[in-house]
Amino acid sequence: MKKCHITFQLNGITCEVLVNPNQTLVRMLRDDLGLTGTKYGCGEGDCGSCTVLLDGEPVNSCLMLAAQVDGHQITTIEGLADGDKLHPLQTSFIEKGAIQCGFCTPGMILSAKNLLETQPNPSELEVRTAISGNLCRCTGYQKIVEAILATASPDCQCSSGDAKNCHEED
Amino acid sequence: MKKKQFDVLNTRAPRVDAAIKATGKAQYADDLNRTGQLYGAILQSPLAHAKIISIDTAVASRLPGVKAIITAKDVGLTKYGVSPARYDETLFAHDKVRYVGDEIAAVAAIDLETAHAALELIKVEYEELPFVLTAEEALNDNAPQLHDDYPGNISAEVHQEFGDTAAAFKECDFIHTHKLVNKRQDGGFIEPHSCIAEYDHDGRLTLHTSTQVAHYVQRTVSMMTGIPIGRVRIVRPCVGGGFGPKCEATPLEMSACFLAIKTGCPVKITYSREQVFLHSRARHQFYHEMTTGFKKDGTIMALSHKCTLDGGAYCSFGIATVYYAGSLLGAPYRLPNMKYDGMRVYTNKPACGAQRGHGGVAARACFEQQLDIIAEELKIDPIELRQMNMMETGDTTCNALNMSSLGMKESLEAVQKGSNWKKKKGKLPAGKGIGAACGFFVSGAGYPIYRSDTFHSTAEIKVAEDGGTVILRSGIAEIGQGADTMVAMITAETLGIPLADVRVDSGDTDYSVDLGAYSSRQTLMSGHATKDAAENVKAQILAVVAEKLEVDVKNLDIKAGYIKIKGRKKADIKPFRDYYRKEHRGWSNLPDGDEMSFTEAARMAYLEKGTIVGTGKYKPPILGGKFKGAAVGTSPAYGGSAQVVEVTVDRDTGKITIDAMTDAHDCGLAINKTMVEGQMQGSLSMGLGEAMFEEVKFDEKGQLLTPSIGEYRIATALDMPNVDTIVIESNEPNGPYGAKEVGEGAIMPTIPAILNAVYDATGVRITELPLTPERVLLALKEAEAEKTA
Amino acid sequence: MLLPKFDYNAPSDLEEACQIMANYGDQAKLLAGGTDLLIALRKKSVTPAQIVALDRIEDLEGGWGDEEGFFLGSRTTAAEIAESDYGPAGQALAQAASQVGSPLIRNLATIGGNLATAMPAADMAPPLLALQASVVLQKYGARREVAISDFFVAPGEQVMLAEEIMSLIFIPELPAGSGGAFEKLGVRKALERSIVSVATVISLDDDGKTINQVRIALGAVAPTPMLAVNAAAGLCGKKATAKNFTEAGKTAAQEAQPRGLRTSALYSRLMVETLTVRALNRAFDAASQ
Repeated sequence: MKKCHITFQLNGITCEVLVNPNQTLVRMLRDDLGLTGTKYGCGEGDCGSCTVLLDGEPVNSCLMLAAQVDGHQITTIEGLADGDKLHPLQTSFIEKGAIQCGFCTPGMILSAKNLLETQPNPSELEVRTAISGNLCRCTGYQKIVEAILATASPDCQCSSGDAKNCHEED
Repeated sequence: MKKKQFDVLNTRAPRVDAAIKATGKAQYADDLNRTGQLYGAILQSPLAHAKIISIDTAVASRLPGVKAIITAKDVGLTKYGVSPARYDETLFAHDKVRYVGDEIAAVAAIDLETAHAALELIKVEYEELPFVLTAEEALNDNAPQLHDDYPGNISAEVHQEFGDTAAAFKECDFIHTHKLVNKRQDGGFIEPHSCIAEYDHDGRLTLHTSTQVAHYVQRTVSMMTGIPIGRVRIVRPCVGGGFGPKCEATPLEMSACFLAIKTGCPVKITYSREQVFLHSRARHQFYHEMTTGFKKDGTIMALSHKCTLDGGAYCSFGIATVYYAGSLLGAPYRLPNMKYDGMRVYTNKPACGAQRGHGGVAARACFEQQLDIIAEELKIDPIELRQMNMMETGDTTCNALNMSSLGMKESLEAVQKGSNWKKKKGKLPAGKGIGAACGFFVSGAGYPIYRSDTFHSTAEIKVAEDGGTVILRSGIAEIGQGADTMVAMITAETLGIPLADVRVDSGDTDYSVDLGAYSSRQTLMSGHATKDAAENVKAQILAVVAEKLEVDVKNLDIKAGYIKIKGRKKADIKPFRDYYRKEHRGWSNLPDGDEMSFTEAARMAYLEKGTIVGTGKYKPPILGGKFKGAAVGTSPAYGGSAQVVEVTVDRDTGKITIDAMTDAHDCGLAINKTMVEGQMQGSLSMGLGEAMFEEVKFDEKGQLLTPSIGEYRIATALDMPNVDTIVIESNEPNGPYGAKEVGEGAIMPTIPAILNAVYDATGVRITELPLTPERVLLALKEAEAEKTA
Repeated sequence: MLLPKFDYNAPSDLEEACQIMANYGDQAKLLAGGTDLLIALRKKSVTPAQIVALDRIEDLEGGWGDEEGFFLGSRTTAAEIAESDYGPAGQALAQAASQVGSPLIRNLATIGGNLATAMPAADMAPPLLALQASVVLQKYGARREVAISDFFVAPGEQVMLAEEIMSLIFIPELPAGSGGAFEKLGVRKALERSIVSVATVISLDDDGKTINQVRIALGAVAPTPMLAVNAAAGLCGKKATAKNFTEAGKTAAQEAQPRGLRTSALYSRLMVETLTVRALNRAFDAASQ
């Protein structure tokens, strides 16, 4: 097996790695680069806990070879906060109670980040669709959806269970 | 009743572990790595039932990079399991394998590739045996037998009668029989089990593991390895969900321990998703048959209930499960006579165990449909029928469960109102339906899993030497439900200090004894132990303050971080303040104001007495009846739930959409309202999944057909409606600050509420789960055919 | 959880890719989106010595049209297709793409991969069948075009030679007054394989009522995605009425060859009938706009 020499942007920093061709992206991030914020839940694209942003778009990093990211930009959960300043989605997830066991959280936040960048004012259905590849067994998704909607409209005063009233489907 | 005012409790404080989880810094077991660690892998049986003729590890052990291979020969044949009365497993199979996935050997190697390669080189010679894959087959006279010690494949049997059902049925105006079968479930937690074991040359074993029950893992590992408890340390890192199946010591954990002992190196093993399904220990398949008798005024008189559980190859939690399946029907309705015959059966499949709503979920799904059938027969609104029969605070069930607080009437009223039931029931357009159901659950089991007078929880609180931070050390299991935050809030409230001044270190058996996260016990039991420890610390500090300020300790209190002196406006605190400031020259954020701060008081106490450490403990009082099995179902308190679900049924495809869910749960005092809602919402989605999608399937040879969470379907964000969760707060006298269960009771009504709503929409009762489009459509077609015939 | 050993090739243009494939033949596997291949590798159901990644080949991306029809690069992702406007008939393809797996999968999965994997339930196959699409297969020194209706052979099998690469998908221009629709039935609302899927494309006569041409394609009810030829033939020249659509649904149900693997054959057939009628109604609405 000839190792692959790849260069890519990881959380804004140029990263050069010699990687085995059969190494998946999730394994490289976790095992070779120590970025364990990207989780490994199933290895088959079924759960979304390994979600990373590939050139800004959320993908399952278990379904990519590490070698494929040569020349691309990868953002992991570790790349979201700006120093000690959390990303607004992170703050919202914390404040709205959108986190329980936390295993799906990095993936959820990254999927949501892409959504809000492409659709700053999403409907509840758009939010649910955007995170439909990220499974959560703890929260029933309710507070996750509320946290994402609240990030999009910080002035909205919706408390728990009221998302419906604030964000009628378009 | 006027509610007590709290400073910290009953708020929506963010979780204490939220920030590390939002930033990816939280470490789960598989995120941990140790210098020089080896990677473990486990060889599992490819056959459902077979004699082991020989195991040859010679070739595998010669593979470069392989450091150790262990089999039953190395680790012995000590039997273990969950309940000591039903220890029926050895770590590795030695004489025969009993399911596809039964463990045979484990390997430690320098990397995972080598470990897997070694597994392929282990030669096992089998002689295939006939096998049984269903409870029905297993109970046949000539069925192949799984265990010599359990003839007839009967893992456990229960026969109970409370009151006199035969006499009661004679007084009934109507008697109705109903059946229900659910499907084997999986926990569906997103983090697969993982652990890393380390053994040092002083004979100390440390295991970091994704578990709900560090205490039981510690005892089991100690028993299996012969290393004393004091030298076995179990540490639970962040856990990516448990829901029951992570409630027992696993072959993964014990393999890692034995391999670490043998190699002297740290050994890490993580289950693949397929192995999670093979290990299983999740919800059983239950076959329920219930006969309910009632009077024409709607009074429920008697229940006769038969249940068979398909248990898989080992007992696991099954002895408790089979009891729970009966005992949890004792409430929340007045049911004076109840007969229960339960049987758990061994089959050649992975073992089933505990899962959210342990034992009671399918039973509740069957019984709550009975109530709707009765209501229809009597032309009474289903919610009214439930209210008529509902228990109240102070009632005791026929099986001796004491409802020391019960906000069920309020919960049912809340969902009736919240869902707009009266405007909808019977008035929805074709294809739409609405259904209601109730349920309840224990706030911790009244007894530990092993017979013992052990405390169920102990806690230790230490105050930092500067008096500024309070450190709670506890064995509690934070598995996502918020246990750390709960004990932090109780500590802060009890001590009268801000939540931010409390730090929680939890999940380490070195800190305290705690039985763990199961049977919804943490808030009530660990909450009590924490409160006890905090009260102890408070008393120690105030005693010193009383002495120094020369006031009666009875007149002292702590509130919002300051010492309050009753009957006196001001105390002369200047000397103490000056002293504290002198000690902390150059520091910022020093105490000021007119009152003595907790920090100053705690520092004062330290200077007088050394490190201030308070301990607390809790065990429940002796509870419940004296009959066999009375231990299962007894609890110091019970939480209750009522739910209304609305559905749309596509009559052409059979596809059901859940349009709305309204849930009200009586959790006693809501320690943290946001987290209470979170538990309710999570319960709803698990219940929805179980009702609609979830099923672990096997082929005709006992091979898993659903080894992935693509094949085993849990609800996605699109499958969940926007749900309404209403928190009902009764005051539980046996709970800390009046708090009790919320983690499991809320799942109880979900499945029957969906089933009742589907009936409302279609007029068809479906008696088998899950409600896949095919099952629903074929049931509708069958009903149509019967109508026309 | 580990992948078997292989070497990785990332050719930068189609010619180089064809050369590599000519060299390695069945020793090599093409990597497009990877959403199927990586799972197959993980399960070791394929163990190629070489992986040839197509993601650096720009010629395989994007779409463009001319008077004859529309060309789509084989590496176009499901997400890109879902967001594209292919007109009233081509929307059947966009609808199918929007229901592939999940947003995460759709950002990786490609149309070429979806076809080449040749699963009976492949979401994008029925609309392409109904749209009479064809695929361009290239190998070193040769190029051929294969109609989608001739492409699939068996579950997991299609006509591509080991050294061939799918470069383009061609969708011929349809007459004005055409419309298409896609219907998928799954258990969940995301991350779902079809129980049954149906795509239909209708072209209406100038009267806006008579069906000039129609194709009905079925997914997950036969060893390969298939056209319900008789059902479509029965509708040609007829009026677009509920009665005729119902009849077509029944015929399509008879034509389906469900194997009764994940649902009973009976249920699969019932769903072919139901979804065919729904898809025809929606295609007719689209054609009438």
